[in-house]
Amino acid sequence: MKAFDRIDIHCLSDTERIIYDYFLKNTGSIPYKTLSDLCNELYVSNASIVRFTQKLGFSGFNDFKFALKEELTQLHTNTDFQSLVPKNTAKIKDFIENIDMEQAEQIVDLILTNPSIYIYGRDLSSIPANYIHTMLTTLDISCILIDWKEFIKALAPTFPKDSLLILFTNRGLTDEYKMILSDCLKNNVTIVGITSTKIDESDIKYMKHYIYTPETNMRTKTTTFSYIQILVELLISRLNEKRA
Amino acid sequence: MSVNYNLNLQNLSDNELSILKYLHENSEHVSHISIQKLASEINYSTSTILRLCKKMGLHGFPELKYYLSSIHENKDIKKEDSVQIDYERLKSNIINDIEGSAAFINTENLPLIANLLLQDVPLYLHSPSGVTDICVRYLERLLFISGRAKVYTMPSLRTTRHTIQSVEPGNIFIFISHSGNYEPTLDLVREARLKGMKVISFSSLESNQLADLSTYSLRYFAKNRENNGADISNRLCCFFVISQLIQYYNMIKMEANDESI
Repeated sequence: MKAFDRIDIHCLSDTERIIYDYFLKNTGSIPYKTLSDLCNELYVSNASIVRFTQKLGFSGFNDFKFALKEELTQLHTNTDFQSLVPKNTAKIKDFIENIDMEQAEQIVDLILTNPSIYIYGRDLSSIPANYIHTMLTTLDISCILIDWKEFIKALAPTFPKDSLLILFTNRGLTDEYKMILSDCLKNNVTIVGITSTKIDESDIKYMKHYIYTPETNMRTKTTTFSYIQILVELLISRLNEKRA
Repeated sequence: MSVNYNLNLQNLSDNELSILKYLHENSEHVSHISIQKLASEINYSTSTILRLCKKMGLHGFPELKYYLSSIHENKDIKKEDSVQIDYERLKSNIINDIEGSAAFINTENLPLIANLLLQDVPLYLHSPSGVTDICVRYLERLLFISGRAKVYTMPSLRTTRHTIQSVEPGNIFIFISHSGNYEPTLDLVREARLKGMKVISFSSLESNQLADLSTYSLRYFAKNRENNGADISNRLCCFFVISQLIQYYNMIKMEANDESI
């Protein structure tokens, strides 16, 4: 099966070999099983199976299942149209399932405790920035939206101490952004970065929290919106608990 | 058992749409009650519920309950796991909404709408205020990124009305409305249709007049929610449906370009 071509079986751990052998023997039935089903049959953890499918080059178990199903039913390229929506849905589902909720809670803590919140995003990133700004404002959490690079460049040296900056970008950190973030750090600004491209390990130091929201196909920010929605739902739960 | 979650919403009555929405929002609860109890909770007859089951490809109510209960795993909830389960439920609610919206993007509508966008005809986006405006600007930017020319965003009700009255028939107007029942928007849509315009709309799954009045409509799952009168309904699925349409449009455009070479 093409789905298994990307792996060198000599480099597999014992657990990975168990998963691989099972997948080879039971290829036909895997698309119809859940992750829990497989964990119970193989006595391995969810995380082991998900990691193995990622090693095969997929975003997660659902993406792998989808690709396997396509191969099994021998769909041709003209049915790429029919598979577009289900394939994208599987990738978004994988992304949401893999969200680190402990980290999301920490970001919610920052939102609820910081008196000055700035939200930055330009070009297509301005849309998710706008969305979270609107949702926070509607939840009575004051925040300032910045959608021009020149604005954040001018404001960065004067951000109030201990502010929170939520930064949305499409690409990695350019030298110009690094200068802006350095100015922020001098004022003890806490930075949460949400990027659609992986940034260099060395640049993560600028951020208290860094979230990578991979694109599913074309640049559409659907995983970014999904992450924002998780934050909004957590905020609503926390605010409802306070009122109760 | 295969459930036909990809049913054509045009074939559903208003009652059946309402029931479907209730099932989606209360799937765990419904999986544990009788059809009589469900009927009394939602004030519809058991025969209406059974008709919907048949349209979904199920033999009857017990199969519907089995399907709904299979969506929910981890039935034995230990107290110390309750925080973990809440996170799982939060994620699965969002995923269910996306999967439900994906299933309801009628595959017949997507090619029709995408091919309509492919025509060299002006496209007018009505931009209301509020959260919906963000969805309109998202659609606008994705159309620009896709190289779609002649996309005009109308900044107010008056501007949209004026444009409808002054442009040629056959132009395309797009309306996004969460409730689908906002009267000023509906007036514009009626006028646009009377003047021979093609109307594409995006609205939530609740039975609504906007979808009925449009030439083509795309629907998404989203619970209505307010914070002291301010709308905080989830727009994630609206963004999702818009992104799927634009990706489909790009694929069709690429295929059309390949054929012309």
